[in-house]
Amino acid sequence: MNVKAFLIAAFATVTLTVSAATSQNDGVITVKVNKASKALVEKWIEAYKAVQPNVEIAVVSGKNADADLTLVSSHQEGAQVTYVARYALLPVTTAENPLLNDIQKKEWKSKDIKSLFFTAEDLDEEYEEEVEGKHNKLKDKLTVYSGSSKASLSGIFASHFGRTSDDLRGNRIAGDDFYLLSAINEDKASVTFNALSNLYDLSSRTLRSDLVLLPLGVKASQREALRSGNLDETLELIENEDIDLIPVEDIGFTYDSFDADIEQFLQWIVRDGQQYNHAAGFLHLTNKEVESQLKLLAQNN
Amino acid sequence: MLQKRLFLAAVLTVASTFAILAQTVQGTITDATSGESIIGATVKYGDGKGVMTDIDGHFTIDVKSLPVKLNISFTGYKPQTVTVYDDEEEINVKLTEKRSYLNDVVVVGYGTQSRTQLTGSVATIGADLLEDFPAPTIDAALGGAVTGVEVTAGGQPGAGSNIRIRGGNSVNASNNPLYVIDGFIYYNDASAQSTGIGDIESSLDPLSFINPSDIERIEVLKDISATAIYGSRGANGVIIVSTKKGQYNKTDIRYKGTLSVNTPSKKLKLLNAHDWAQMEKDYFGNRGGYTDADIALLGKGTDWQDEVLRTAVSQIHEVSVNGGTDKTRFLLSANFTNQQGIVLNSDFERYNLRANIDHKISQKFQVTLSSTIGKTTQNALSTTQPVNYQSSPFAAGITNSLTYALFMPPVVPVYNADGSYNYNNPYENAYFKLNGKAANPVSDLKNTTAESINNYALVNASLKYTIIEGLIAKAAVGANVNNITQNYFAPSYTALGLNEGGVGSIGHRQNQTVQTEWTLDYEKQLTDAHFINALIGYTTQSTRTNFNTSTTSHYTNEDLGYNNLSAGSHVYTPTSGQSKSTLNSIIARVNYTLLDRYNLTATFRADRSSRFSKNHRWGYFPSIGLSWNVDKESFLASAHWLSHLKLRTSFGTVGNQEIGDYEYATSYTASSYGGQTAYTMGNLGNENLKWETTTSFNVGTDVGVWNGRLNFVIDYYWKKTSDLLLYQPVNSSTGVTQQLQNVGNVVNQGIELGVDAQIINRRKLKLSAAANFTHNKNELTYMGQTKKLTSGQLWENVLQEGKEVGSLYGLIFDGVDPQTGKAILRDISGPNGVPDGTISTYDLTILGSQQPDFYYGISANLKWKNFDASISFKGSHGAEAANLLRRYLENPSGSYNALATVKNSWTPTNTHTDVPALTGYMATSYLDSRYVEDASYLKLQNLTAGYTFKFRHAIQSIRVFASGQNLLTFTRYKGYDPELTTGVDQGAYPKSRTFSFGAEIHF
Repeated sequence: MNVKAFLIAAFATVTLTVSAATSQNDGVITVKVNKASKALVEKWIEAYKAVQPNVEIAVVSGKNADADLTLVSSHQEGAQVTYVARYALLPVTTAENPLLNDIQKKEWKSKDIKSLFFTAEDLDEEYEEEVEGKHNKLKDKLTVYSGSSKASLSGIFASHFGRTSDDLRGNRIAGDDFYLLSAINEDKASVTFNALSNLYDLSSRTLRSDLVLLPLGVKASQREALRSGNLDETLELIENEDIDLIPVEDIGFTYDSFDADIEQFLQWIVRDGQQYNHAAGFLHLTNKEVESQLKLLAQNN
Repeated sequence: MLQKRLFLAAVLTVASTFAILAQTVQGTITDATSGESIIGATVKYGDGKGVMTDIDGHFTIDVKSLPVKLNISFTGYKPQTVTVYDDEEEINVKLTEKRSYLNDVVVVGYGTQSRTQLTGSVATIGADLLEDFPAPTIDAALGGAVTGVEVTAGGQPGAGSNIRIRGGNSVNASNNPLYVIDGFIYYNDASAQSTGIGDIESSLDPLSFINPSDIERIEVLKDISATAIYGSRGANGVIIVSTKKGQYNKTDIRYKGTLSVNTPSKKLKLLNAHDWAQMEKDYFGNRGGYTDADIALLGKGTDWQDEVLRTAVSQIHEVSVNGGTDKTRFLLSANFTNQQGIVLNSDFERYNLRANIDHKISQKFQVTLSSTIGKTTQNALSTTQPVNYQSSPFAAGITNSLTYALFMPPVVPVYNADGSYNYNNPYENAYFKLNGKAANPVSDLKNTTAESINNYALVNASLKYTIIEGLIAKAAVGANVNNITQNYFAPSYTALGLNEGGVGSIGHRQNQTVQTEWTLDYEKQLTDAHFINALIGYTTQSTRTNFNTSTTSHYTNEDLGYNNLSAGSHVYTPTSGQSKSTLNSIIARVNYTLLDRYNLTATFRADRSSRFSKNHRWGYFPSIGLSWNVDKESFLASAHWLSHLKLRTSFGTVGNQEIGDYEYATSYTASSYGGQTAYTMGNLGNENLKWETTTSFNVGTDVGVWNGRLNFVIDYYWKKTSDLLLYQPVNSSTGVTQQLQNVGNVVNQGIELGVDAQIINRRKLKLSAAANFTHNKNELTYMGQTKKLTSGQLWENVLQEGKEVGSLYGLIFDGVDPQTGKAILRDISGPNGVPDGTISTYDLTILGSQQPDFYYGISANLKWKNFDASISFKGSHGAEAANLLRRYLENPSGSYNALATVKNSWTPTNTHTDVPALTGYMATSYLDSRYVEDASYLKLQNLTAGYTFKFRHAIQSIRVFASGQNLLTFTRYKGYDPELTTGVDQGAYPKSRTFSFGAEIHF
């Protein structure tokens, strides 16, 4: 690429980015998403354009990009949010983990997960671990990986177990949570957690072959569904049964400005877009949530 | 040439290519708890490459490709590994502090130091303690909190406490510790808060300008290794107060409101009207002409004590905004305190603003400002002043407007039938009665003004520049200004105004102190084995004080009180004055640590003080401290139960320059005599006056076991103060009776033991307890030629070689003669050294000591989920106090009331008693051992319980709390309270029992 071509390309990129980022209510609805939910949002846009061909919706990215709608991965206190889907997090290790047998022998109950993933809740226990060397052997040999970026779901996972992301043991990664799976595949003797959309192959609808879920201490039928490695069975299980060991959280769109186009788009996602959630590895909103979100959208108008 | 150009172009191309291919990873390292940037954290990556974070905690590295693994570490924090997979977002790594003794950093003079490297004895008081103790000033909270610190708090709102660190070293120079507030050396004893108007009993607490909630932590420097850096001002120990700072990239708003109800913690049992009239009739000539029938109808009469004491209400409101950006942090706080006293018309009020700002101008420059301004106002009691002649009301025990109420006959009403004040008291002596009109204590308290106002500012600014890594130059300048006004007015119908026809005074005093500091500080871990920190500096402090007072009396119109002094027809000679002093100092200190085990601190300070004569202005104060972290030795490597074990010792010299300015010079005092100005000698100069020097030795150990769950601190200290600044009697032909000389030695030695335990340490349930114990033995080992000096109204205080400073002096009371009812006073000596059958000054002996044998504190804290509770006790054992108030109240005349104990006085039918027969006069004009009482006590000082409601909205949390202070006192002392700022109780302001309720809202 010569200098002239490079400059033209750079100029065009900057112009388009700025244009996309600054467009507010100029006929194009801009949507800012993270990597994990990008496929789902793009599917919604595609499907919505099919029914509303006149509406322009563009996905923007980049940390400085402004958008009409910004996807958030957790409940936001005090902000205007329309929740549009749910996701679940599962603890996982790599199939090549040398401690896999030990891991699979256990039924991982809440206290076991807390003990494995978090620093000791009880400072007496921490003392025993750090000073007296009374180590839990399996825990000591496994490295926990968690995300440190703002978009990481580490906080959601920690919060579900009554802790904060600062309490997570082990190593951190910087980057999308997807890379946590790369990290455990590299380290082998390690564990992490991730959203179903990353854990399962969305095409084959099965758990990625290089991963093994930690067997949770749940009812036998539930354990079977999880062990099947089938994404749809897993989604159905989590939607239909309340399993305390599996963190489930909403994703939603925050917005500063609100107009009829945005309202209709969000209404459509809440009402009709749910059918695409499973395909992308996300859970449907509950009926109650659908009802409440539609009501809130109506009130916003 | 072409080849060269081609080669250069190729090199540039390759370099550019690498530059383009390289990826830049940026991040910030912060403390997981505080959010503050961590400066100097190590970020290692690749094959041994590494960078350190800058002043913003920021780092930037270039890597060939991603992912890259970063190993991040910083002393005292758990290391963290972060694998970077993409560089889209700046990395924010939060490091979690290791919770252990090893990481504890303490504030020391002119810097900070890791506790493991410390060689001195330094105790720390955290903000938690101050927050749990809702008191308007910090003095009270210090009591019982740490070993070696004895606090005796006054009862008057806004009045100062007596704080002694490891005993008092001096007699005539100050024994108050030195305060260092955010680096500003602040020395102001209570006398510096007084303008010279003697009729106001109390003066403002020098520490009243600090709002306890603004304090982050307090360090108490006790031994020579820690205090030597303050040289001539370190002899009495140093209290370093660090106020709260802002926080980067976060904003917090807090409001705290406290409402308190104060009641007298104790009342004295006085005679009621019935009993008093009976006594008057039986012993004092029955001036009231009472018949038995009259007496039977009198009932309880007026309880004057109840009339002047009240249930008082106090309120404290505090607002703080704490925040910042990535370069600047600030804390702004404002507080309003209004504390009513339990004695009528006494109170304390404070408006205070604080601003602390830190700004990073660049990576190397940092500017800091710490400032507080405000106003305190105290309405105190008026005093009759100590006048040593027998006919004064003070000599009769009426020392202030409160004690006058105690002496009032209960048959005298407060009000007339029409509701006006009753000024008719037929029993009053001539003290407070003129032309048939007598003073009324309730009217006195309500109508007398005894007000002290201080408008103050304390500002300290510093600029730090990092010359090279580890080498920091700091320049600081600070100023403290106190503009004190005292207003006094006693109308012609009040006790102190009767004989004066009304008397009013206004006094002003301005204290200005300017301090500059220039320091160079170098700190470097030279190798794994060697750590060094060196400090040199130059500092100056200059103080200027101006004062003036004006007094008039015999008012024709009293409506405007002190606001119209010109209404007084008699003008007293006005007074005014100015004094200046300067202190120039060179400081140097080296801390060296070998192998994390062996620590050495060598300190030197040279002070030049203008308070001494030219030949003795320089003082040199060296010290050395050594410590050994024994737990890090290999032979203890397997002792996992041992968290830390340190042995410490220190030796050195510090001084005391806290005497008045110009004491070395001869001065003359002007006064009015027969309409002319007359000069009399005020001070007999002493060209040889020099520093009081305290040589000190300390040995101690810090032990922690079970991961710091149980910790002990044990110290033994020995301090010898030489060249004592002592007033010595001189021949009256010199024009004065005494002269300040360097005579005598005082030795203090003692043992301190502190223990704290984290009994339960779970995240949701924590229970901790602490206790401390201090034994101090004080002895005046040498007094020069004069072996004994007495002072006080009854000669009740004595300085005697071989005895403790603060010894009480008098006659020994051996009971009551059952035959005569007279007090039996022991004849122990005479002119020939043997009992001579008469009671005289030869029979005076030491009756006790104001110094306790030991004092202690016990506290416990509980946190369970959102509930918290704390309790603290403090105690003192073995001190005696001279209860002069009881002496007067047990020796009634026909004019004044008495304690109910006189009902047990000797009579022909009540011969076995320890209360002599009532005669209307004292058995002796000296103190006798009846009134030297055991002032040991144990107090339930504080009990607090709180509950925190947490929210996720604009309000983050609300903590509601209830608290009680001074709830219980176990003592045998018969006065109001055994905790006395002096060991002679002449009717000190009574302590209150306080119940507080409040809420703290965190936005």
